Amino acid sequence: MSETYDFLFKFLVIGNAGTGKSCLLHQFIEKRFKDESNHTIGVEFGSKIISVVNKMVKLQIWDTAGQERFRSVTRSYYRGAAGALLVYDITSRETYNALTTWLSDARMLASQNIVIILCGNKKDLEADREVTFLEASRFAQENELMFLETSALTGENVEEAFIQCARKILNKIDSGELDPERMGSGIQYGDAALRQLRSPRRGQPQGSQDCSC
Amino acid sequence: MRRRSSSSASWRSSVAKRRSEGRCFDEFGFALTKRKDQTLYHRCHDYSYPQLSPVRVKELCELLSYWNGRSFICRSQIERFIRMGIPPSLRGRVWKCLLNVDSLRETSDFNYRSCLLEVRGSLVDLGVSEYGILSAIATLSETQNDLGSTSQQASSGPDPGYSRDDVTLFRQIALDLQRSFPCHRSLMGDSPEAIEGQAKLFRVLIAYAKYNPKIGYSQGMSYIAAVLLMQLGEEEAFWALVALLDKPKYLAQLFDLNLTEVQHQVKVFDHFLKHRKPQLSLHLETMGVSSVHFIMPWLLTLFTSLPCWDSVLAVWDLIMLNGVCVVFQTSLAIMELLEPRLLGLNDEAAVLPLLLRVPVNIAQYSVLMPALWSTEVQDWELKCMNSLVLDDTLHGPKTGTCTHAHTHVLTQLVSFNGKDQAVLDQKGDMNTFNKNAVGGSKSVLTRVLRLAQRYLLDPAARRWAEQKTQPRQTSPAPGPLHHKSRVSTSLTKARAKSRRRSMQRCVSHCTPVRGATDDVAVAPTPGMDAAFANKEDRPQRVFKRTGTGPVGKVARRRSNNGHVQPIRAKSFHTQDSGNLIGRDTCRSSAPSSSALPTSLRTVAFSASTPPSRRPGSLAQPGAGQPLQQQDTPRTALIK
Repeated sequence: MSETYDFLFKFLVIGNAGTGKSCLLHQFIEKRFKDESNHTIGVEFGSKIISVVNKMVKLQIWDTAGQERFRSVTRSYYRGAAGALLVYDITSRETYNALTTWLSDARMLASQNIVIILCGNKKDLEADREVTFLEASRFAQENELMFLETSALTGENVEEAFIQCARKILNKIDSGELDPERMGSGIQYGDAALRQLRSPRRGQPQGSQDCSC
Repeated sequence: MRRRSSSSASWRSSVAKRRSEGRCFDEFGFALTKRKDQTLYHRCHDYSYPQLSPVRVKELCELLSYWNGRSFICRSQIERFIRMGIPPSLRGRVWKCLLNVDSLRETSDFNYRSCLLEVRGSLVDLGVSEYGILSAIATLSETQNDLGSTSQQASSGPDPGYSRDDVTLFRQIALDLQRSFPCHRSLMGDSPEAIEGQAKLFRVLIAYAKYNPKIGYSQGMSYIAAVLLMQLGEEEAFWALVALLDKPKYLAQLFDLNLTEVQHQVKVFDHFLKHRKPQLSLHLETMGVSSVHFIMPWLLTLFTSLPCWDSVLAVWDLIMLNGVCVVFQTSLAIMELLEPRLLGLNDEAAVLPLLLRVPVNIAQYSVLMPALWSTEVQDWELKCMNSLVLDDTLHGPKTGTCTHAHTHVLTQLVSFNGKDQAVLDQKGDMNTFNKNAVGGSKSVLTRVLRLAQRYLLDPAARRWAEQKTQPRQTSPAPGPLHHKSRVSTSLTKARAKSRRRSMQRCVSHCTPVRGATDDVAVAPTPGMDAAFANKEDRPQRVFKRTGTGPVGKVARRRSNNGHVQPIRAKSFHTQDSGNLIGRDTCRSSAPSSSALPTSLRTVAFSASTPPSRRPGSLAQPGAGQPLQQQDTPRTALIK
C-alpha cells in the first residue's frame, strides 16, 4: 500500500481565473478532460507519482483559485513550493497581461530557487488565439521561465509540463544548486531515496532540518 | 473579430450538448452519474432525509401562513420543524420567512428591475446576452483584449456604456456560471432550462454586484445564489442573497473585497478547533495542514461542496435560522466526525483529500445532522473567538508568556465566584488530554479571561457593561472594543445570574408570577426578539464549554419528542449547570423558566418550584436588585 518514491516535490498551479488550471491538474492526474468542473474556491489538491530520469517523484500539487481577490489567500502557498505552473489562456490577452503580477508574487514570496514553467493553455482553440507562441516564449526567456503551450482538453503537453518542471528541479538538486534539506525548499526525500542514501548525514526523513555539522 | 468567438462557442457547446442529452436527474436536480464517475463528481444520489408526516406538513404550512419573524414562539416552532426536517417543497417558503425577504425588499431603496434595466444597456452595448453564456464569455474576452490594447495606446474614444471594470465583472460572472453546480439540471449544458437558469444566475449576481459595489462579485457567491435560485423565484433569490451576504447575523463577516474577512474567520475557526479538539488541532499542525487549506470552500460556498444534498439543505435551514455560528458549528461537526480517521493519517497528501472531499458516509444526513445538533456554537463564543483573533493581530500571540498572570486571574475569578466551579471542572477534564494539547485549549480559556479582566479594570468599559446588563440592549455592532466588552459582559452577567439564582432559591415561596417578573432584568420580555433571548443563557456557559458534551444530546432527544420547544438546549442546560455545580436542584428550575415564552413560564414555574419554603431568605427581590448585587463581585475583583 505504501508508495515508494525518491523525492516529493510541492507544486503550485497559478494564473488568472478561467485559464484552465483545475482542468490541467485533472488531466494530469486522471488523464481525461473534466468538462463539468466547478470553479475552485480556496485550493484544490492532487498528487501523483511520475518517473523522471529514472527517479520516482511524487508531486503534491496545489491548485489555486484564480480570481484577483483570492490572491491574498494564494500568497500563503508560495512558501514551500518547489515548482509552479504559471497558466494563462492563449485566447485571452488579459490573462497573459496578468502574468507579470503573478510572477512578481512568486518571486517575492516563493523560495528563490522555485522552478516556474509558463503554460499557455487552451492550445486547442487555435482559431481564437490572441497571444502568439513567439511573444510568450520571449516573455518566458526574459523572465527565465520554461515555456510550453498546453491543452487540457486534448491532453497535449500537460504531463510534459509537469515532467519538465520536475526534471529541472532534479537537475538543480544534482548540481547542488538546490538543497532539498533546506527549510521550505518544497522537496522531501521519499523512502526509496532514503534507503539508497549512502551518506549518513541525510538521516532526516523529512529533510526539513538544517544540518548543523 | 466576431468570427472567432462563434467558432469556439459552437465547438464547446457541441460538447455541452452531448452531455445534456439523455441525462437522468435525481430528486434535487443533480445529474445521475455512472457509478465509476461518482468519485469524480463527488456527489451522492441516495438521500436519507426524514419525511414529515402530512399532519406536520399542515402544521408547518399554518405556521408559515401566520409567520412573524420577530416572534419568539414562531422561531422556536420553526426550529422544531427544522430539526424534524423541512420538506423540500416548503423549503423556499421557510427560507423566505427566516430571511425576512419581503420586508427587506419593501424597505430597501434598491429596485431589482430597474437595476437590471441599467445593466441591460451595458450588455447591449457590449453585444452580449445572458442567454448565450459561452458566446458572451468569448465576446467579453475579446472586448477585454481590445480595451487592453486601446488603453496601451492611451486613446480614449467616445465613452461606451460600460467601464473596463464592468467588462471584467461580467466576464468573471459568466465564466463561473457553468462552473457552479455543473451537474445540476438548472445550470448544466444548453437545454432551455439550463439557459434560463444560467441567465437568472447571471442577473442575480450582477444585480448583487451593483447593489453592493464594495463587495462586488466574489467567487463562491455563485454557488450560494444558485442554491437560492433552486428554491426561490429570481427576485426573491436576489433579496435572499442580499440578506445572507449583508446581514451581520449571516455572512457579512465572510465576504469582502480582498478576502481579509474570511481569513480572519479561518483564524476564528482555528481557535475553535484548538479549544474543542486540541489533539486533532495539534495533529493537523504537525502535518503542516492549516485550516485555510480546507475550510475556505465550507465558508465561502456554505458547504455546497458536500456530496449529500439533503444534508447541505438541512445545514442551510439551520444557517437561515441561527446565522453564521451554524457555519462554525457544521465545520466543527465535520471535524468531529472525521477526527478518528484524521488522527490515523500521518500524511498531508492523505489528509487533505479527505477534508476537501468529505466522504459520503460522513456527509450523509443520518450521520452529519445528529452530529451537528449535538455540536453547539453560541454567538457569544464566536464573539470571544473573534476578539481573541483581534487580540492576536493587535498584540501578537502571547501564549505562554502570560500564563502566570492568567492563572492568577483564573483563581481570583473562581475564588469569589464559587458557583463557576465549572471552570475547575473544565480544568480537570483537560488534564486528561495530553500535555501539549492542553496548552492550546487552556490558553484560549485563560486568554478570554484575561481579556475580560482587562476590560473590567477599564472604568469606561465598565459603565458600558452596566448599561448592557439592563434589558433590551441588543443590536450587535462590529468593532474590536465591542467584541471585548461583550466578552466581559458575559462574565458579569454570569455572576449576576448566579446571584440571581441564589436569590431565587430564597424566593421560591413567592408567587410564580412574581418570580417571573423578578427575572425581568435579564430574562426576555415578551415580544423581545429571539436573538436576545438566545443570548440570555449564554453567560452561564462561559465557564463550562468542555463539560457540555451530553447537553446537546439531551436537547436533541427532547426536541424530537417534546411538545414545548425552548430555544436550543436552554432549559436542560441550566439544569445541567445545576448538577455541575452541585447545589440545590430547585434553583435550576427557575432559570429554565426564563427560556420559555411568558405564557408558559407561569406553568413551568409553578410546576417546577417545590412548595416548601427555603429558610434564610436574604433579600426581598426587586427589579433593580440583580444590578446592585453584581457590583459586589466586580469590586472584589478590582481590589
